[in-house]
Amino acid sequence: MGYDQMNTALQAIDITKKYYKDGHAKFILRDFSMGVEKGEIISILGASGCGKTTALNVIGGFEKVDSGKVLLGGKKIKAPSFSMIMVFQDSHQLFPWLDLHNNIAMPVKRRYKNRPGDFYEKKISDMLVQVGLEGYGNYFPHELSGGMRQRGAIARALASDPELLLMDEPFANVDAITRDSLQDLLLEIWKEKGLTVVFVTHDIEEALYISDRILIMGKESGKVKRIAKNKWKGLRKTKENYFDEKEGIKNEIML
Amino acid sequence: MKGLKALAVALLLLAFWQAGAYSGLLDPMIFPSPSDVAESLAKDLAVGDLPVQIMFSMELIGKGLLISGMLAIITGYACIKMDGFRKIVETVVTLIHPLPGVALLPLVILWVGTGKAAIIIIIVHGAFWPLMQNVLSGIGSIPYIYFKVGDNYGLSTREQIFHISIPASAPFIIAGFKIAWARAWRALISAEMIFGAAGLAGGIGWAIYKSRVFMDIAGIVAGLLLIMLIGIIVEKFVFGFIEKRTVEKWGMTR
Repeated sequence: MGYDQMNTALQAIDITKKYYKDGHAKFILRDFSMGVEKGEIISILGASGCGKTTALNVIGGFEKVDSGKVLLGGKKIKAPSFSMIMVFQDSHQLFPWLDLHNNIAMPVKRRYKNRPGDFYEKKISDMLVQVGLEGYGNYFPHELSGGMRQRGAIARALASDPELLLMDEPFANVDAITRDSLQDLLLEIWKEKGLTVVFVTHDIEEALYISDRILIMGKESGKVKRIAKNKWKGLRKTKENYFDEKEGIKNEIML
Repeated sequence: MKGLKALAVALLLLAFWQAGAYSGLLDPMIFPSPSDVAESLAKDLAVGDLPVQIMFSMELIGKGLLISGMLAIITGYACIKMDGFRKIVETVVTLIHPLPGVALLPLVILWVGTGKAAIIIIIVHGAFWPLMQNVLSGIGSIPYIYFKVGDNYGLSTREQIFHISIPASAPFIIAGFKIAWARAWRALISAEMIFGAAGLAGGIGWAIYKSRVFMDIAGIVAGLLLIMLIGIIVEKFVFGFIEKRTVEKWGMTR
């Protein structure tokens, strides 16, 4: 399937990033290319140390590259901006000195300036409802559970309406039950709002559950192994060949 | 609960003190009774010049802490921006921090004479270094992720300082101000005693020193009590209040 300009949200083209160790070049990313279509959830799946987080940081403009470029709507990305908001793995990414309401207000008020107060209030309360945290606006992050804090972080990220949501293993630090519900939440919001998401994970089942497409990275090469369409989105371990697929991917990412 | 216990202990000590005075074990010319001290304190506060002296001291320490705070923010900001500068500051703090303020007096007197400016310099010396040390630890403790989030939302450098760096290192800054206050308070009283009054007011330290001249031993002890009381009030109530409204509320106490 080719990417026409209309449907392509983002393109990463031939990204190379390396560092030198004992005089030898080590590649974190090598000829890393990917496209993101509008309205899809694409996972970058790989073992730890494969360079997937670096890839996401490069896409978001947080890290510089040795060569290659990232285009968002045809424009080159040079620095982080409101166009792409990152949700991190760290469950302490909300500012502890702001309550949930003000954590969400911060980006909203910065992106939308000089609007009537109702505008902000409505946006913030809508976001809280959307992530299931209605009535928790005046709670400080330390008063919330890890799962609730991640919901709050998603609310804060989406409140300023980014074109792309970047997620760096956002559900890796919560228990399995909470993780399932957060994945469901993401799919729910995706359906409702038509989000475009780049989702980094090392969890194959997670990638299979949430993704439209999965980009598989090799363990140490910094290269893209393949980008595959995923037919298991929204399904949890239902059919037999699910396990074959999972085992197959597992072998791939360990090489 | 803890406050009540401390109060009970204080009252018990007071009772022993008063009992000692009653029984004649304490010579009133060597150590006055609590009632004499209380009387002297009440009189000095009501009709004497003690309120003026308190205001004098509080004004100086207030200014000194304000200057120290602003210096620490500016220096801390420069340290965030320039890593080389930070190393220099760290070394300077380590070198100068242990130097007692009183030891600087001869130099300060030669520089600016014996007025309020000299006392403020001594206070700033007492307060700034421990404050700076804490600010540096605070800066080092800020999780990188906060700056990353700030970058994502396009915060300017000034906003990074005021919306992220300062609140994120608040536990360290408050701890630094607590130490700074205690050091400044000691420095202030010593400096006042040495410099004496310029005109009517010379501060609490000067008031105590003056009491010696008049053999007003109850006045001396009253002054000492006052110094303790103000120290406790600021530490427990002022800083306690600030902590309750900030780091405790934010769950950032260490």
